[in-house]
Amino acid sequence: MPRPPIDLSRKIKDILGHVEPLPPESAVPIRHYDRTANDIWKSLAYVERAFEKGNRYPTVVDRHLGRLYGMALVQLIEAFERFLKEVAAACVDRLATIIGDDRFGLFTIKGSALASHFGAATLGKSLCESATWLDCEEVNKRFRKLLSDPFQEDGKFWLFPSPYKNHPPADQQSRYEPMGVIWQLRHTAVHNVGVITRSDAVKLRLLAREPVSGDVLLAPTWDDLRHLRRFLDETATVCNERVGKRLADLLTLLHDQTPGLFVPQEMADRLAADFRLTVVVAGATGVPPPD
Amino acid sequence: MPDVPNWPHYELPSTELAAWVDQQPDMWWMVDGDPLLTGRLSFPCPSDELAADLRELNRPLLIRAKSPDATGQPVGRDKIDSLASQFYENIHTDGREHPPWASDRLLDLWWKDRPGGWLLAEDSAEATRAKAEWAEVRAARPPAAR
Repeated sequence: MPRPPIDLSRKIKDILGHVEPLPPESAVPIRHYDRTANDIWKSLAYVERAFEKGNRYPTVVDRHLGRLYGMALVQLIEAFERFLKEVAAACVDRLATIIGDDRFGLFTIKGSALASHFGAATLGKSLCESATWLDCEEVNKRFRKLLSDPFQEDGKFWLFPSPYKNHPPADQQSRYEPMGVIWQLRHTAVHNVGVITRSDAVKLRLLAREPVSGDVLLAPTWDDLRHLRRFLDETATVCNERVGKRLADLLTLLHDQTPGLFVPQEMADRLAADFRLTVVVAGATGVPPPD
Repeated sequence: MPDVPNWPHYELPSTELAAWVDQQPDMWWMVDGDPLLTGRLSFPCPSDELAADLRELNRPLLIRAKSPDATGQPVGRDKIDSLASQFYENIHTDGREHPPWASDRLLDLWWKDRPGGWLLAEDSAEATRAKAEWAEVRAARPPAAR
């Protein structure tokens, strides 16, 4: 039987209609991240158990699972990238109407892409969603500027403080090097379908500061994923707390300079809801609402 | 008004479930189908993290009963063992030996104030991995720090 004639152009467009509503957790970046990472993990655990149960061909199972582990690795890293964007967007949304310096100037939207941004839900999403957040230096630059004191050229907040430049806080410097490796692993998995090219190997060797082979296929194990997941989970929790507290401090400073800018209690409550943290803004304590 | 399960059930405070979880300090846990807990914790997770969150949430759960007469009567931690199922009750292996995780227990649960049921399951495989990793960590420490 020959292949049936199908309007594939139509079928490709049909994919856009096969969607699900966002979960309620998507309104809170850290909750959205946790929910997504857990969903990825449950799917993987389900498939692994199903394979284990009917395991007649171990080599075949290992090959298929290896492919799935590679996909899960990318999804976990991209869930973390999305978390960074959503946290940055929350910062923009709290600051946009109360500060007039050039801190938002580092987000650029091309004129040709401007029309699509009118559909974005908030200014923060509009500014933060389209860019990639896949590099420690770039992420640092954006958060540093976004959370700098008013009318300061450079801020002092490093989301991923570098041990080589001795950025504060020292107790978070240990995340810098593995984050660099994680971004590069994602690049390898997404752009080269898991092939560590020779040029990837050179970058990875510089990032990891140890030998890395080139012209090989990345084959992550279950334990690799467990450790990646835990590292990203813990990093997301720390980032959420540090950004939330820094934003509260910045808002306090703005309120001290211009007390009529906003009502401290309202702002503290908004921040507590956005970050699911107890925060203090200009003496007012915001408590996270119940889930 | 949230919908309610169409299966027989008891009412169980989440703090009582926390106390039951505490009785297995070395176990790890997996949750499937509950956006509330999966938006708050990283699963699989150890008993102490799950118990702490169940205490913080402090709200009533509905737990599937084996008796058809159950209509929401309150129960506590002592009843939970008798309400747990095990994975092997639901898997078919064509006569081959069950995998090790088939003995893990699971509970059918439902937040009384939220729609939808979910599963809480033991994850003995993850508990075994964590135990092995703890052994590695302890072995790597200098003798005075162990």
